[in-house]
Amino acid sequence: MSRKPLIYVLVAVLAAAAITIGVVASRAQGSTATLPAIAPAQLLANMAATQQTTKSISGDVTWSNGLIPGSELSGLLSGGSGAAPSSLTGLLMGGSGRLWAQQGSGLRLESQGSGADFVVVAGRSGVWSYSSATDTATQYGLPAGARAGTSPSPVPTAMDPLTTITRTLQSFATTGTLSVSGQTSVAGRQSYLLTVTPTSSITTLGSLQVAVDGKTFVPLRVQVFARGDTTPTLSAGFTSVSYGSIVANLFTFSPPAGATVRHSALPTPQGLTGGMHSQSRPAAHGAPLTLAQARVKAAASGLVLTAPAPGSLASSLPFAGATVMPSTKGQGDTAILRYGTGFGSVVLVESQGAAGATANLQQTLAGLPHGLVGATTVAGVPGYELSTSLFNVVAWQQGKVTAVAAGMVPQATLRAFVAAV
Amino acid sequence: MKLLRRELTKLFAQKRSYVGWGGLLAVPLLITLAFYLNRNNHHHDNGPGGVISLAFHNGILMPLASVAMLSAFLLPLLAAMVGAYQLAGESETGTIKTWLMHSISRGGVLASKWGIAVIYVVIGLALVFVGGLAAGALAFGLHSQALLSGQTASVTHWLGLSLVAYLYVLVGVICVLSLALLFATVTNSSLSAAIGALVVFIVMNVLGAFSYFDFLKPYLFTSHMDAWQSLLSQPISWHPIVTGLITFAIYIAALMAVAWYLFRRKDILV
Amino acid sequence: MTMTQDRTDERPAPPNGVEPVVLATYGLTKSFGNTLAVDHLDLTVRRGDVFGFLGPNGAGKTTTIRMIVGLIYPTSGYATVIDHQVPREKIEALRHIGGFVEVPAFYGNMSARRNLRLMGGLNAQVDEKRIAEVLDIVGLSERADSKVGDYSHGMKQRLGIANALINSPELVILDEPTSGLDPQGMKDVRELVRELGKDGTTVFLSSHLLHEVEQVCNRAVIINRGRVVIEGPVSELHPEHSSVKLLTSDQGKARDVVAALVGAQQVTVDEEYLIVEANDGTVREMVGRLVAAGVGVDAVIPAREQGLEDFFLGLTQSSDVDTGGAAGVAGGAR
Repeated sequence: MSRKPLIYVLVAVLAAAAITIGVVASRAQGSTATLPAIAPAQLLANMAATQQTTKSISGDVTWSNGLIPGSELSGLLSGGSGAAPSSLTGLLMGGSGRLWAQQGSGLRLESQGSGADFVVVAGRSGVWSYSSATDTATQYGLPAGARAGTSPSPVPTAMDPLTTITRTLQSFATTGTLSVSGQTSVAGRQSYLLTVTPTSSITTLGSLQVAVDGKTFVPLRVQVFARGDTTPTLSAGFTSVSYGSIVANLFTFSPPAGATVRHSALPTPQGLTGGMHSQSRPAAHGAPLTLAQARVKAAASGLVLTAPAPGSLASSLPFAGATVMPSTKGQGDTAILRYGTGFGSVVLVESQGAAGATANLQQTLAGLPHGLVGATTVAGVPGYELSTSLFNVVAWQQGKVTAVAAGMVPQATLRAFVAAV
Repeated sequence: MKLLRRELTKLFAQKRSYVGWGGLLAVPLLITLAFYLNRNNHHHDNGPGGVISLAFHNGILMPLASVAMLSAFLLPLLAAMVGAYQLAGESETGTIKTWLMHSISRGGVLASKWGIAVIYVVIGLALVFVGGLAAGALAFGLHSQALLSGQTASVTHWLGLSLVAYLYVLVGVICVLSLALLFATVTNSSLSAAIGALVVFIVMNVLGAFSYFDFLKPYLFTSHMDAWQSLLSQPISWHPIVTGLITFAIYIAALMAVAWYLFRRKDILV
Repeated sequence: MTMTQDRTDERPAPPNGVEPVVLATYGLTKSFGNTLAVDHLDLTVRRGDVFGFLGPNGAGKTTTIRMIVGLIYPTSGYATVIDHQVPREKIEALRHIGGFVEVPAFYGNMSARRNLRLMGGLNAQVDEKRIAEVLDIVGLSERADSKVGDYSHGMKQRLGIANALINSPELVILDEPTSGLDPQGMKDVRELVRELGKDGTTVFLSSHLLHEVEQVCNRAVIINRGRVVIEGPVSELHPEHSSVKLLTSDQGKARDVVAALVGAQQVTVDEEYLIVEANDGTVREMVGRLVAAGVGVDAVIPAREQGLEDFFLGLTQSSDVDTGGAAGVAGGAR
């Protein structure tokens, strides 16, 4: 049997693949025309203005979370073949699916896995999630102050991811440098790349990149890079997008017959990472206090503050202010002490440690993926350490005080900080 | 065409046709039986997940569960064997020269072989569909069922979706069949041709499983085999299905074009 | 035994307008890699011929036939079948051809009748009557409805012939149709071929047995190693002289009687036999004279078969040595 015909077979298969390249690629090709240059401030202004003009957005989305260790193997394997999440927190692990958002109608996110979907719907019928794998529908009670009827759209603006992105970018003006670093095609649309580079030199954050549609000024993709990395640690964005109007019934949900129905409270950003976000917003409880003032105020509720002595800190982490507020759980006050500036800052949260607080801490830690949290010692006291490429957290209990130090700083820097406490 | 009619006569006269069909039909029956025996056990972790796990308690999902299970390997295997055997089997029995000493074109012979292999798979899939539906109806009855995206769909809607899914899988499987037929034009052993096609299928699947080869994925027809699953979310995203069908069509056309070229020029030495 | 000579003379002239040459090859060549299987083969088969294609095993007979029917493609050269070139117009050419190559292949799980039904109507419509007819011609009527898989080799050969005849083709090509048959089977097939020839069908028959070609064909070509060795009427393929072996009651007296008839040089003694160079007509005269002389004639054995097989071997062997072929012996005249 001559070998030559086998070569023909190989050629046939390769030719088929090659033709497919041409056809499929041309179908997916969006516009490639170059956009006019634009200043970052103008871009932000356009983005803010677009909320009046862009009413609907829908498309295929994909998001990934590189903070979780042990996902190296799944990183090797192609995405889209994993199981769909079955809870809201599962969404945080990464995934892909479809998103619909329409002013006046609501928001719908469909996370697709192999053979099962996880759907989140917010609209006239309330906020629901449905997991087809477990046939469970969960209805969420809205947090106080954001009920339907207080704003023109039934969707609380806090849940509108696009406006949140714009607002967040605007708030970065002081802590980072905004620049339009280039143009690229995202979701088939020629887009501006808006980059936020932190001014702090010690932070683990490398840059934040937002791809903004050159025509509609809608953010299409957000990517967070750790310092020194060329691939994003966090990424979320559209792979295809359309601005056509969406049928209203996509934003309503009624549980299918026979499904298990649960009720739950809407999880709000809290816990270990809560302190980080609060530094972008002005403190809701008055002007920042000095260390001495904070000590006095905390002592009034029985909280004994332990803080690094002023001379022992690295020059990159000067004391920046303190806030003392009543604790949401347990008794007494919680003190939030901030060190450093911008992205390269560390937050030290101390609260009256009741027995319940330690248990809460352990419970939260237990819920995290295995291997994320390690044990460590702080000033002779056992504690927990959480380390990712973007931020680090150390938590310990000293006497009656539960302390958590967190920041987008390298692990070594945080350890040094904690050692000085 | 008259050649196809003759191939039909041959197909139904051969025992091995019925063996393959019987094997295919057994799958939905066995799946339904397994679900039926497990019906009081609500652990969805047992057995294969995904679409198949939806099929607890509702017969309307049996056809989809069956095709999901079969399209992974059994269907491509059968398609490769059928495609290979139709052409290479004639070389093995020597009957190819009996045919070719008549006043017929080689292209016509190849086309009728392809046609009869397709008909074989169509009959097999029809058996799986009807068998799964009947077994499911008997075991669990047919009810409305929620789609993956949470909306409830009627029995007729699910039937329609299942039909479209089956048609989609059929086209995908015809790719494997055409590949096997192409191999059969260069080798006289139906086993070698079937194995060749299966090896290519498996290699493509393996390549598609590693994110290192993500740039290749859209161009391998195996990556599109599961695209019918987007039928199960509403609103239906037709893009992956259409892309898949176009990819399949390109592959089938290219493979059969080369097969035609090779078969026309081949020296029949058996 | 004289029928071969009869046939050459009695071949009817083809009617006007009908192509006299049914099959011809022009420089037909086939090489497989470095092996030259068929080397510039030229032959011509006229309408009504029973044409013998003769050569030892491995001479390239089957390869040539495969090229004639378009199963394989020549490296160079071509064939024509009634005006249609093969391989270029092979579909039209095959309309006029019936036959088989090597072992006739059918579907073992179906009956002979079903097999014929399956393949019979491809060139032209064929009805049940015709199927029954050809089965009868080859003598398979009784076993027509049993599975072909149960057939003996001889029955399969017969089915092959039936399949060849079913469309009443102008040219019947049979590749060693008696191979593997018992003597009765061989006899039946040869008789069948003769009948075909009598009906005016042109037959192209390949064989490695000279005596078979002698019995059945009127023209033949002998090939060896892919080359034509000799082509011509069968009667001219071997020297005119023939010899007989005589076994008599009185060798000495017989010798005298025979020598008086044919000349002393034509008579030799081989142990108890007398070898006499004499043609057919003389043999009768010789026996008559011996009996009249009171010599008992125990046996008259034609030594022609052996002599001619030796001649055949000699021809093919000598063409191994002489690369030019022995075409000069009788001329390759068309």
